[in-house]
Amino acid sequence: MVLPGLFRTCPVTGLRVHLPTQRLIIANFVMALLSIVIGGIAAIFVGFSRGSTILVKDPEQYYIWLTAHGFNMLIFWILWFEVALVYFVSTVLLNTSIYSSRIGWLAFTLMLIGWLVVNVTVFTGNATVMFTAYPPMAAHPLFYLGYILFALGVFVALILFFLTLYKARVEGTYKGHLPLVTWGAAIAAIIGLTVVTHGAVALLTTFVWRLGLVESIDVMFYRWFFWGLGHNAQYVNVTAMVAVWYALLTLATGYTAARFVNERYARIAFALYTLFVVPGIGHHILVDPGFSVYLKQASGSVGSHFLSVPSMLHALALLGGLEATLRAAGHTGLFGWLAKIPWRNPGVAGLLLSMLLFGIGGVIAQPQTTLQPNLLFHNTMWVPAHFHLTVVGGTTLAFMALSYYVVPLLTLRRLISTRLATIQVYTAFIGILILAISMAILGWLGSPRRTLVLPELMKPEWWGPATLLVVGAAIWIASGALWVVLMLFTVLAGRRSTDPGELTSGLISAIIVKEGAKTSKMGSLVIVIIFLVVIMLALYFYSFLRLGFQPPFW
Amino acid sequence: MTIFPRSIEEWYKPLTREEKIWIALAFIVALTLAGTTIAWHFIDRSHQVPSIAVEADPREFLSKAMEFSRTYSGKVVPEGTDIYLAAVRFTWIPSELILKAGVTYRIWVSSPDVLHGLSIIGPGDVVYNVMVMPGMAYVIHVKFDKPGEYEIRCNEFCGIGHANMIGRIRVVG
Ligand code: HEM
Ligand SMILES: [Cu+2]
Ligand SMILES: [Cu+2]
Repeated sequence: MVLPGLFRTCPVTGLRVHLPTQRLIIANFVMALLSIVIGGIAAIFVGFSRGSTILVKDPEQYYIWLTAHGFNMLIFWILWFEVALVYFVSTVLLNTSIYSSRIGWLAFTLMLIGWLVVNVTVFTGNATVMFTAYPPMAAHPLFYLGYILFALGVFVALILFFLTLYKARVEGTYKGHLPLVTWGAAIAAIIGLTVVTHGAVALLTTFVWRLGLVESIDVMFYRWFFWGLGHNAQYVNVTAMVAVWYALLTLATGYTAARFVNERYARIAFALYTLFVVPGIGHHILVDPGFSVYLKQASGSVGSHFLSVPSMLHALALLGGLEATLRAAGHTGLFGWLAKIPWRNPGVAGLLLSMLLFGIGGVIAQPQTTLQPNLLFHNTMWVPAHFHLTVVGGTTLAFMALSYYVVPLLTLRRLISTRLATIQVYTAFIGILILAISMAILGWLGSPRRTLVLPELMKPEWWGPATLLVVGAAIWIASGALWVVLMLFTVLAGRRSTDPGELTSGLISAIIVKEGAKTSKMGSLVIVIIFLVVIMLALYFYSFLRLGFQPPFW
Repeated sequence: MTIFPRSIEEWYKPLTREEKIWIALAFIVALTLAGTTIAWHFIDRSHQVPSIAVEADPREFLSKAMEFSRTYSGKVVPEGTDIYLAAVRFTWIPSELILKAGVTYRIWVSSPDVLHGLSIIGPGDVVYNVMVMPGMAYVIHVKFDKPGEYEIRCNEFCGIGHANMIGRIRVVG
C-alpha cells in the first residue's frame, strides 16, 4: 500500500509511515541489536568469571571483555535504540517524514565509525580502560576519537530529531500538541544535549592530552565532566524508558488504560527531569579527595534524592492508570484488581516487571547516593547491582517489550510467538533479579567491582553470592538470547500480513470498561507507600545504622 | 491518548486530589532522605567522609611512603605518627600496617600513577571505601576499636594486576 510520496499507511494504527525514514529507523535498530549481541557475548565471559565459576582466568582477557560489555551494552545498545526511538516518535506518531534522511545517514555513519573504532581498539587490547576511561590511565588515541565520533553522531541525530519536530509543527502535519510519548522523548533529547556537551569537554581534553599536545590532565576535572556524560546519559535512558512505559500501557491494553492517565500530570513529571538531572552529577564523586563536602552534599546527596521525585510520580500515574482501568471494568477490592491484570500479555508484563525492577534499583540507590553511607558502597558490587536493575531491568526490559509491538508493525510480519515473548519477559525478570541480588550481597560484603576475584583471592563469605550470580547470569543470558532469536525470526521468517487482527494477535488485551463506573487509584498508592516509605526508608536508615557501628573515621 | 497528538482541551486537565497527594508524597520522601544526610553531618562527627585533601607531588609522596614503610615494617606504628600509604600499580606501600587498637591515626593516602580505590574490609562488618587520586592526598583519621586483621583492597580498576592489590592492617591490643 505505497501512497504517492513514499508513504505507506499502517494497517493497525492508521499512522502514515515514511519509507526512507523507516529504513533509517530499522538500520539504527539493527545496530542496537548487533550491539546487545556483542555485549551479551561479553556478558557470558564477564558473568561466568565474576561469579564462582572462573571462565576467564587471564585478567587481561577479563578486563577486555568487561570494557567491551560496558561499551556495547550501556553506550551502544541503549543509544542506537534511543536514536531509532526518537526518529520513530517524531515521524510516525506525527504523521510526517524525517527532516532530512541525508542528515540521518550522516549521523548513522558517524556513529558506525565510532562504534567500529571503539570496538576494534577495545577487542585488540588497546583500550582496556572501561567505558569510564579515567585518565591518567591511557588508551590508544584512536579510541578517544571513536568515542567522540560516536557521541557526535548521537548529537547530529538529536538535532535531526528537533528539526523534525519543528518541521512537523510548521507543516501542520498533526493537530494539537505533541503526543505524550513524543513529549517524553523530547525531554530525553534535551537531557541528551547536556550529555554531549559534558562528554565533549571530558573526551576532547583527553584526546588532546593523548595526542601529546598538552602535558597533563586534571583527573578531578575529567571525573566531573565525564560523569556529566555518564550520569546525564542515565537520565536519557530513564526518560526514554518512561516514555516507552506509557507507550506499552497504551498499546498492550488496546488504548483503554491510557484514558485513565492524566496527561498534564505526566507531562509535568517529565519536565521535572530536566530540572533535577544536572544537579545530580555529584553522586559519582562523593568520596573523591578534592571536592568540597558541601558540594558533594548539595549535588550528590540532596540533588540526587530529588531526582527520584519524577520517577515516583510516573510510577503512580502508570500503576494508578492501570488500576483505574481495571476498576472501571468492574474489579474491586484494595488489591483485587491485581489478580485481574492480564499477566500473560507480554506488553503488560513487560511494563509492570520493568517498573518493579527499576523501582528496586531506585530503592537500593538511595543509601548509595547519600554522602556518608556512600563510604560503605562506593565501587563495590553494590553499584552494578543498582544499575543492572535500572538500565537492564528497567530500560532494557522495557525496550525489549516494546519491540514486540513495534517490530511487527514496521516489518509487517507477525511476531513469531507471543507465548515465547511472554516467557522471555518473565525469565528476564527472574534472571536480572537473581543477578542483581547476588551482586548487591557481594557489594554489601565489600567485594569490589571491576575486579576479577580469582578463587585464591576470594573471601570465604563471598562464595555464596558469587554462586548465585552465575545462576542469575545464566538465566538472563538465556532470556536475552531468546529475545534476539524472536526478533531475528520475526524479521526474517515471520508470516507477512497486513491484517490488523493478525499482526497484533495475542499482543493486545483490551479491557472492557463500563462508562461512568467508579474508579480509584487507592491500591496503587498503598503499594507505592509500602515500597517506598516502608522498604526504602528501612534500608536507608539501616545503612546509617551500620555506618554508625563502624570504627570511627572522619 | 499517549501515542496520538492531542488538542490542549483534551489533555490540560486540572490535577486531581489524588495526584496532589502523590506529588506531596514524592517530595516528602525526597526531603526525608535529603534531610537525613544533612542531620547526620551534625549528629555523628566520627563517621564522615574525610574533608581534608591536599595537593601532593607524586614522586615526593611515593618516597615518603617508602620511607615510612622501611621505618615501620614489622613494627607497631606509635601513637601520633603520621602514616603515608601509597597505592602503586599493583601494590600498597606499605603493604602491611600494624596499628594499636583504640588509637586514632592520621593516614595520608595518594598515588603516584593512576586512580585507585582504598577499600578496607574487616571482620565484624567493617567496610570503608574512598578514592585514591594521583596528585592529591586524602587525609583520613581512623581509630580501630578492636584488634583483628583487616584487608586493604584496591577497588578502582587500575590495570591488569588490579585484583592482586591486597594489603593488610593488623590491629593489635
Ligand atoms: C546479559 C546478561 C548480563 C550479565 C550476565 C551481566 C553481568 C555483569 C557483571 C557480572 C558485571 C560486573 C563485573 C565487574 O564489575 O567485575 C557487569 C558490568 C556491567 N554491565 Fe552487565 N550484565 C548483563 C547485561 C547487561 C546489560 C543489558 C547492560 C546495559 C544495558 C549491562 C551493563 C553493564 C555495565 C555498564 C557494567 C559496568 C562495566 C564497568 O564497570 O565498566 N549489562 N555486567
Ligand atoms: Cu548518576
Ligand atoms: Cu586497582
